[in-house]
Amino acid sequence: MKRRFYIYLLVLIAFLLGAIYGHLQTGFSDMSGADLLRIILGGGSDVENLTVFDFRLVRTVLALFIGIGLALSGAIFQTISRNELASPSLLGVNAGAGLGVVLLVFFTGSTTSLGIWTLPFVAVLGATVAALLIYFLSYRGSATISPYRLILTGISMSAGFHAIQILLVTRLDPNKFYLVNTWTIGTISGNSWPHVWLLAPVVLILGLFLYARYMELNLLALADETAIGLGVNINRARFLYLIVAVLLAAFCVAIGGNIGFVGLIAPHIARRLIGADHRYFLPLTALIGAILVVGADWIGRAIIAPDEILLGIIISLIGAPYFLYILAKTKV
Amino acid sequence: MKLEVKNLTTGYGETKIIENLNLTIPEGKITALIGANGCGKSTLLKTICRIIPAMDGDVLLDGKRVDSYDSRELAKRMAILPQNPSAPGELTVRELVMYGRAPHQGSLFARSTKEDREMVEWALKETDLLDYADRGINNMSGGQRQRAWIAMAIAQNTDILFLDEPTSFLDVSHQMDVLHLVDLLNKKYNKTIIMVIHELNEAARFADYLVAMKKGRILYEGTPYEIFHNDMLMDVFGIDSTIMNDPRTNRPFCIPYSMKAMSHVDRGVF
Repeated sequence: MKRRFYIYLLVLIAFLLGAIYGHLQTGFSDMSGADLLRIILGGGSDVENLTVFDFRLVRTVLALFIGIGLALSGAIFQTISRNELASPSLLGVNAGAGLGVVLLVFFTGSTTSLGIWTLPFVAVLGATVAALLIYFLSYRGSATISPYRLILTGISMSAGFHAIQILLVTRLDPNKFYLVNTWTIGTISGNSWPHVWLLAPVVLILGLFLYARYMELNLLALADETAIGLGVNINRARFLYLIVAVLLAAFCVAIGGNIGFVGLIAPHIARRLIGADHRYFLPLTALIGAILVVGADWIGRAIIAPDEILLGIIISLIGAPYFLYILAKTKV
Repeated sequence: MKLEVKNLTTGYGETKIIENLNLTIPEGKITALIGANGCGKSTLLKTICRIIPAMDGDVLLDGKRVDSYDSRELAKRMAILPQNPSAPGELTVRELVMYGRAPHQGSLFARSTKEDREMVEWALKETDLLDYADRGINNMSGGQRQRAWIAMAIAQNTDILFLDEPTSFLDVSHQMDVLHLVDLLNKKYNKTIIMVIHELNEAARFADYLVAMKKGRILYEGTPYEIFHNDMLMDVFGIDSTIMNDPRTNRPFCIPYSMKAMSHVDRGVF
């Protein structure tokens, strides 16, 4: 098991490095591999440094952390709901964040007056409120929360949030509509280092926390009675990890826009590769998520260069068929 | 260790299944809870091992309410084998059994110690699973799977072990395997065992103490020699029966008959 894990780890790291390399190389100005290496090692001119470090690297690093955060969040949602089809978007995180963003844009006079923290903050707030609402609505005074009720409540509440969002969007003027629409589809262009300083610590700290608690997560994946017998305080644990998963996804979505599917696909592939032990499963999930988002963003920039396809579209093009594949394979 | 139930009221949601029940679990013995479907025996077991919260009254371990213990501390003292345990399909037997060590490990970056690994090997050996340790839990027969779950529960190394219908859905040879294992854990390792069991003759043969329940109340409790008689079976299950003594185990066993229609078979007419 351990050996297989390290082999996958190395292979996936190689893939990720490849994706990062490709991602850094792609952009408005052409750059050869040798040039890129020279600039990264500190031998670039001012213009080259600006291009690579302030335009491209920011985007690469953001894609990396968004991938890791969404994938880990999806893994945790799947563990606590014991359902491989669970994901942050299914449990209302994206819809809640989206509603927050639309409300913000709807009720503020001008879009340019917003500070760079305002939109992410409102998105995180919206996602958290939505997720908590879903959690408490699926709580029915029984000893433990039913994972099924959690998912069903999540689906219906998300639909409701979407409806309100669309209602508001149709009343926006074109400028505001463009801003909301870009966010809704999902893109990581136009971000800067401060966004990285916001996102990276959240993903790193919460990711490390989850990894440290891998054993409790393993136990949560068993039936409630077994987990209780093994010393898990089940409602407290489920609530704690729900909050962690919501925060992870909310911060990613707040900065990257409404990106779906990563939280569904990455854990699913990782589980196929290495099994359900979170000690091995979480690191692979994080890597696969990073590869997916960095890779998708690269593809989006490369295929119709110098124009680009928004990241969310590429992810959906990969994600939707995979989702159908999972559905077809799942025996219910 | 002393496990007592005092004035316990419990049930699901708003529905009370058990009201004002008192029971002291004999230490170091095998106790079997018996009764018809829906009599509350599983509810009682689940409340004692804090799977469902008590509505009123106390479950006391060494004089302290079980729900006031830290959950992990309690897991070092009592282990549970639930009725229909389930695990993610990719899990191997050894991984599952190692989960039984979780309460003994740190809660951050859990690492298995030499003692953990020795306990896992011991549990696999006692349950006859060494040859299957690296198999996926869902690729095994019902009997093997049940033994794997028991291995997990005994790797927990607790004084008290709860078993909720450990033999249901197993064929007779696997039932014997499981019950002999339970007997071994009690006799050799001095564990207190509390189990819910449907098969009356297995209860009378393997348990030291029987608790017979009906409609949320205890009607009879005592050793099989004291309470395993026709009146008890009549009151608790509504069956007529012939009680005999098993010459090999010297335990009582019953042959049950229906009270409703005396069939040809029951009257011995062919």
